[in-house]
Amino acid sequence: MKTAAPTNRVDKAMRAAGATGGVDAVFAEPWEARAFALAVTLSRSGQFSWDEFRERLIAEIAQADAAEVRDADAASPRGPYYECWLAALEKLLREKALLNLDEIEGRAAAIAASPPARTKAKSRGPIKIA
Amino acid sequence: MGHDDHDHNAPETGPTLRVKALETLLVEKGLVDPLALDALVDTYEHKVGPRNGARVVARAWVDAAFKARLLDDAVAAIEELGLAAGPQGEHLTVLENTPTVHNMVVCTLCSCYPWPVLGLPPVWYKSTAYRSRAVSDPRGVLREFGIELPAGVELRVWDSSAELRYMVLPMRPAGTENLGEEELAALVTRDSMIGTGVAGVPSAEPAATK
Repeated sequence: MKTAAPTNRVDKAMRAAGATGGVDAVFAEPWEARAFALAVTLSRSGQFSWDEFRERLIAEIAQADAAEVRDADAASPRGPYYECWLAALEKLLREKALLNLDEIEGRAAAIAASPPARTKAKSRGPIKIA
Repeated sequence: MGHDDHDHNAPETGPTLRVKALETLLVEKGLVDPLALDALVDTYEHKVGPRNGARVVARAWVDAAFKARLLDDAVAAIEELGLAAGPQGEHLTVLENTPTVHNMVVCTLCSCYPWPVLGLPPVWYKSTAYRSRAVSDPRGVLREFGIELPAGVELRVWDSSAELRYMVLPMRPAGTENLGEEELAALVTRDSMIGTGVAGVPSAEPAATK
């Protein structure tokens, strides 16, 4: 097969993604899965319609596309897709007054301030056996 | 493998933290059930995927009447195979590839995709490059996927939307007359149902890696 050098980072990302031949993971990180599930679940339960979510997702993606055109080097290999998804979800939740910014910021700060119990856990050595 | 205490010691930041904040608040307000979230993630990670679409394609290859129903009313036809239309499948349309017409699907604005038959879209489907170049240079895109479309073949590119989701019915590979439905389904790749691949040929190794 003839080799064709990738013309820019974006093409390279597309090829790299294609290289997995259909077995790439659905979600790259756990938060993507949670963000995905939150939007689908809330839409199913009627908190908002899928179209309302999609409109906001399209707007976020359009913005990210424009940023990528301005600064191709800043483009992440995966693209900012789920970042856009998350931003669209949060905006919609706030528009629908299901959550407000203060409580989101407050909760995020609280979680950040109380890291998981495993943090800095030091081994206490083997259990003493009688 | 080294001990990865670095990850555990790092405070949660960025999107991980943000999503956790949203989820815990929504759970407390009774707006979402965390178990329902778990179930949904499991469904799309492990249960719904292109194998569903491959079953549909294989059936269409062996059963002309089914194929006719599939092209006429895809939602009703996939239900015959026990596949519920479900979210992002309510408006499914199936496009048939022929020796003279090759269909290729994109969603130029976001990532609309027929979840019930193909699962969630691959990374490249959501990329800026694919979404723009599938329209501006579709033959070039196909070439990158290893498909050189003969000049005489008409290429049709379909833009998905919330109301219209497309799945391509690829051509049955030559020399498969003696295969059963299950064996045929194994030849149907995800990309062949998006139109960036052909059935019976493993997804192309990108030229850039050679």
